[in-house]
Amino acid sequence: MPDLMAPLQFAPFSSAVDASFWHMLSRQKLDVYKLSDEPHPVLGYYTMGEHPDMPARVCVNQAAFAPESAAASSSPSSSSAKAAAPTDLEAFFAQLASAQVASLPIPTQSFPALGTLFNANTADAFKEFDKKAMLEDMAKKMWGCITSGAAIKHPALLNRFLLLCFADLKKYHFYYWFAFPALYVGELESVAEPAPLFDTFSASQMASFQASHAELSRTHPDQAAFFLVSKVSDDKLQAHALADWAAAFPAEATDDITIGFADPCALAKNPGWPLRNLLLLLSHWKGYLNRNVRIICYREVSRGGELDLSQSIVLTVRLTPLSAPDLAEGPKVVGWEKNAKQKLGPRIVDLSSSMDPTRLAETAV
Amino acid sequence: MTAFLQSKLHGIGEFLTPVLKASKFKETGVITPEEFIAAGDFLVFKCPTWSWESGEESKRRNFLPPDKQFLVTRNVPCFKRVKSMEYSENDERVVEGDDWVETHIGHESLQKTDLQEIPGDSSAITAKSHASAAKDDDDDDVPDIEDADGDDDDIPDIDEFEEDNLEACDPSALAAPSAAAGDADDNILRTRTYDLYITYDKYYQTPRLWLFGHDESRKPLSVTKMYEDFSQDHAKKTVTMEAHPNLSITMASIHPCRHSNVMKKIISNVEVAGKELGVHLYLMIFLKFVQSVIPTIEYDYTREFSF
Repeated sequence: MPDLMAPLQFAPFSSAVDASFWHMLSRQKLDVYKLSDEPHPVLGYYTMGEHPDMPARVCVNQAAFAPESAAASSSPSSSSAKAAAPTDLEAFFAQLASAQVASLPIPTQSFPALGTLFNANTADAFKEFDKKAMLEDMAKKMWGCITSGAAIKHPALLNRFLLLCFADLKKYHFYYWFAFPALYVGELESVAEPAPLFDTFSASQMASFQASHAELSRTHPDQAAFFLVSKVSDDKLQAHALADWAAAFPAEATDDITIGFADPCALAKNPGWPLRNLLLLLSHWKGYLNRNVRIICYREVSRGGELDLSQSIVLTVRLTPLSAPDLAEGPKVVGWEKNAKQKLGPRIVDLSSSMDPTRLAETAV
Repeated sequence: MTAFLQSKLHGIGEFLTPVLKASKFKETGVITPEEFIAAGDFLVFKCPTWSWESGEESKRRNFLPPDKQFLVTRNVPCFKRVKSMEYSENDERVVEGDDWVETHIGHESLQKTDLQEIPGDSSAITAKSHASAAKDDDDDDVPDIEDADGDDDDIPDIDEFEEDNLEACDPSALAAPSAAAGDADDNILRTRTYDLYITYDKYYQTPRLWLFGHDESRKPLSVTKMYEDFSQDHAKKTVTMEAHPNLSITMASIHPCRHSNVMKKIISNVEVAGKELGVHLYLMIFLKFVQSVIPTIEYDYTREFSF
């Protein structure tokens, strides 16, 4: 039994909101949401980690509202449905998670994050949102996706966020607070020091893995964010969809279980946030195996026309089953984003200089 | 007022200018929308950090396909300020006549190892002196939309919104490096990021580059702060603040009035050397030459392309 290491620490997501998102939110608020405070689905995305000095980001831009608008305009009862949020958000998300990624309005080489937007009508209402209850409610829904197996088929259901907003439309001030829910049942310990991918696998294993992940992204783009990696032969690895466990590891007793995920973080010793929910899924699903699992934190970056994998790392953790009380109560959840001062609190952005027509006219003079 | 009128006239001019149909790329350096699409497709293929986007539906331009209205790459790091880079005339090269000066030519590849050697953070000081210099200068064309340091005055204080007990300290979450804004004595790099957009300018019949900057905590940068990242030779001559044609947002833009001249000269230089320049390379060359305006913004383009 190797010595246990320090607890594994995950790099949290940071939010990145384009100014165009706030412009679109203002329009939605005026034309569609009006005074309704129903939750609305928004689509964000993240990309693989590019630089260790850059935070892992979930981004939203003007296209975040497109899936809901498209659903509203194509629904048969659209005459009255324009203002209505999809009645069953979970069903809507299941549909988004099963969509071919290329059909979603997110950049190439990025992975979808499914967001639930609550837009308050006043600053007070924004303040009074019961944040703890909202995050726990989201955790319950995600736990439901894990126990039902939906998240195995559609792993994007593990990538969620909550976004609370208040848009002060007169001043072009936007208050907002993101949560990136991470379900957990306790601290995880690495059983081996995180190592660069290149030190763990041979050049031919790497090349075959990269090619088969590219193939998986092409044929099943919705399965490219979380995947399994099997050893076909000594110099050949292959990426599989999560649901293809039996094909990837025909001998369940194998000691060679390797999984992988598209890692938005680029640090040498830490994985990114999405791994937390994947590990919980695995503990629930395959924890009875009680084995060490190797994890490829996959960071494939395009630089000057070349794909660079050198930032990718490999971790090893022990897969253990969830205890009966954990199963009964469901996992705990964390995830509210800290503000610029590293306090648990919302952020505010002033866009009067880029959105206010009167100020724009002034600057043009 | 002149700038306002010019901007309006440009809008009218763009409306009246017929869409370019026949290729005049080699003779004049301008491109047709079809050529823009071809060059954009090639850029996305070579550098997949760039994507096509459709923008706002109500602002679609009918001479471009709905899903290929403009190109964008987001969260591009900008590790240091142009002002903090050592710069002398030796680093400068006049590219083509007096149309374009390539600056910071010795600084093309900024490696992380170089960056760690930057002592302290001098940008806070230069930011202030730059801001005050900008204010003193009456001939300055730069509109001071916001004061560099006083832009928080209008923003309501939201400390009272903080909820420290919302969730327990999570030992599995990696703490963020303490990049507390305003703490100017630490050695932490202030990594700004930029979103870069390329649109097709119908009036000038060239691509046009747009920039929207964010500070290290992802707050939009004021105009004054963004000017710290533009080459000082170009900042006030070629960078203007205008509304993005496909998004209702004002951002910095490199004015396209010189683009076709520079492109034409590059093309004829290559042809003198006996080679031919395919129009699909247009945006790669374009990105290379706008690099001289924004030398520290590290967007992806293939430096080593063959003519």
